[in-house]
Amino acid sequence: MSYRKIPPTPKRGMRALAIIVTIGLVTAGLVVFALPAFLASLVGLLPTMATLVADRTPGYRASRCVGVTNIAGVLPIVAMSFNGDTSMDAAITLLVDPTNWLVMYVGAGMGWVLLWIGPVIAEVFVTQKAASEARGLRENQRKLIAEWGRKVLDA
Amino acid sequence: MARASGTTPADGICGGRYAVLGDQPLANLDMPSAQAFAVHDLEGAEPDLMALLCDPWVPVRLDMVPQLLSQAIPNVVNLLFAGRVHVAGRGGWAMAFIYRRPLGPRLAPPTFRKSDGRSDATRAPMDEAEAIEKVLVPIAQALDDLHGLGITHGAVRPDNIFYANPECTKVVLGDCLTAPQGHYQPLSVETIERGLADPAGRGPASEGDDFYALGVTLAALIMGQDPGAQFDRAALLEARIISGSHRALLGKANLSMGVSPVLQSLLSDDVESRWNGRAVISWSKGTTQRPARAKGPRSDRPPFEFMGTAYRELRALAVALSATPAHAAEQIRRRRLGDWLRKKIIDPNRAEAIEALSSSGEEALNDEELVAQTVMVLDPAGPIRYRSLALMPDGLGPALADAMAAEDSDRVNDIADLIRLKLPLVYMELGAWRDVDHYQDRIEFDAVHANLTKDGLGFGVERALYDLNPLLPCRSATIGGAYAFDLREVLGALDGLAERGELNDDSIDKHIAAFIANRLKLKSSDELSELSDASMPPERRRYAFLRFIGEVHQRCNRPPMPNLAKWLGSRLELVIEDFNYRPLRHDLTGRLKRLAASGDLSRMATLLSNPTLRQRDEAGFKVAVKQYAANARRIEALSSHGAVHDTRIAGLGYSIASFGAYAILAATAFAVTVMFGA
Repeated sequence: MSYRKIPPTPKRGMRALAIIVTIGLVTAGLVVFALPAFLASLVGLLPTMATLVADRTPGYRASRCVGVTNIAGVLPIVAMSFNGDTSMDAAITLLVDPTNWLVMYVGAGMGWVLLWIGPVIAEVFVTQKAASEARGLRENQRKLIAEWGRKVLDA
Repeated sequence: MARASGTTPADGICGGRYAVLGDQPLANLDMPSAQAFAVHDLEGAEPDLMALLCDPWVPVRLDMVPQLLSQAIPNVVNLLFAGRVHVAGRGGWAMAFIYRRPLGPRLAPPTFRKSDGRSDATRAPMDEAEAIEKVLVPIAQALDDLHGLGITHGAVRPDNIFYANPECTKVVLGDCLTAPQGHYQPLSVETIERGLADPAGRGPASEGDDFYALGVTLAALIMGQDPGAQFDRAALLEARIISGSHRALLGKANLSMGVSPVLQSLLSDDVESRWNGRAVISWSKGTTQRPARAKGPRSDRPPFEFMGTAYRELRALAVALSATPAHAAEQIRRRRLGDWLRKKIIDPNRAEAIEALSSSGEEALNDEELVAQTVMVLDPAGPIRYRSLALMPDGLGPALADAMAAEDSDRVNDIADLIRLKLPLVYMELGAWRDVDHYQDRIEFDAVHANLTKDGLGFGVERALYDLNPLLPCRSATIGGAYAFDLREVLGALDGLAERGELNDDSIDKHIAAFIANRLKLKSSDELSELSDASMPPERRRYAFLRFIGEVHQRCNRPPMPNLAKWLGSRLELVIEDFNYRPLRHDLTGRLKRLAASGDLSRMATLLSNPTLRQRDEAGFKVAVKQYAANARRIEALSSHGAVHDTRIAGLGYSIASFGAYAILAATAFAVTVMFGA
């Protein structure tokens, strides 16, 4: 009999520290090289962050849904910010335009709309499917009674 | 058996050749249990024939038929055919024996009408020389020939010998098949042992018994009357036991010295010294034969006092003891009898045997058993005597048949008790049979005993009747007129009942069940238990009826029984409803109807009791029940809108939302790429 050597589990503190350091380095990189895009993303994704904080769904499914549509809203603004000017002025110009805010927050809103409309569609679908299945089962029961008699009910 | 060819549908025709003329009785040729009728030979070869149509309740000797048909024996009525015949006006079928008709009268008027076994019938005394020449010699020769074929006659008596021709120059011995041997014999023509037995329970005669009867017949013809006519039954037996048959019957007869040796030798009570046919013929030719010694009374013996009478003969004492079992048992238990045998008769073996019977410890015999067994020790060659019965062990069957025909329930119960107590087996140990190997008899009796002691339809005393009389027709009142000898004929009779609308759920009565159980050699009542269970619904009993009859039908090579099949087929809906699968029921109904139309009872039974079909139906039903219940649970779950339902909707809702979100993201990404990538 052989024994596999179990690799040592990294300490949770070290792992969190590594994540924080990575995020810090990426953030620093973005601030230096793409400040308008960074700021647009920061403020544009605030609804997602707010949702993430309040989300109680399993696997943060609501946050993911809102996050994805929110990113879809932020994506055009970020794309526009890549015009070669990475100054603070360019960033402020981008953020003072209410259309940009609208675009970004409508994106997040669409996520909420989808979260509301998805279960409605699902309920209609599931109910129809269950009704259809029940009809099939009842038909099968009628056939059983026809073939075996009402004794199948009493047995 | 020859009779197998005799079942013919035409009225009065048997064997396809002999027409029994039911309107032409021949009363002068009647036998005690058979009526004689004229017969017309359809082939015209035999002008003078007679048919003896038997009483259906009396067992006939069918087992002797093949030998008698195989060759014509001189001086014996020639049997030409034996079989069932339906004669109009006689209430159904009857057993018919077709004989060449004796053309002269009987030698003596019938004696058999007297119930006490005596005859007061007289005839003109026959000349001694004529009696010897015309009767003794030819009949002795005939008996010798019969014995050579393994047949004993058992009905040699003056009124059963006929003149064969109108000139009365030649005689023939009459029928011996229409009744059990000895049943209708006057007491005087039976040996003492057989005379002690009840007429119906005398059992098969021996060769010596036939010659004894011939001797008495000769004496009767010479004397012109039954030599025992002046005695009543008990007195005749007592006189014969004490003085010997020859002295008792012929002691006062005026017979010449010429005939004396043959009568003395034929009437000898010692079977070893009794003359046989060869000796008689030899004597008739003038050869000197040493006559048998006549036995005298035992006046020298110290007597045994019983009920105020002194007995010197063990056999006479046995008769007295069996007549009063309570007093007899007291004498036996007080060892008076044993002491007498040991000290006075000097017969320690008998004394020991009787004392052993009376000191059986915990398994003490009751008075009647004790006396019955004691009597076997005292008179081993005599019949089994129990209560009012006196039966030879091999006469049990005819005796039971006789008692049942007479509806004498006391006698039937006594015979049943005698079998239950296994007295015939005791007889094999203590009686005259003790020196012979009776292995086969024991096995057969054990089977009879086992079947008698079982309860239920197909067993009991009716079963004993058919076990003890294997050639007896079925005596069911339901098919009374059918005279059914075998299973096929019973089925045919039931089919006839169905055709006439007389069949009902109780038609398989005790006799039919016992008859069939005997022929099928059934050892257990399981197959018949539902038939006799009155608490069962009628359809269940009919199904049991079908299974039982189906087995019988199979055994008879499946002759078509359309009426019986139709009757059963139309009354088995409930049995078909036992099957759960309705398409199968529909299919079975159709198949049952087709089989019923073809009269195939065995296949009907097989169809409905097919175990594979039933197992598959049961298994299918179980699956259907499970499936129905599972469907019901699933429908309940689907319609309940419980937590699972909500979770499912939530999960699917998130999936739809996520799909929509990713679709929007993909579309935006595409648009951005197109717009800003250019």
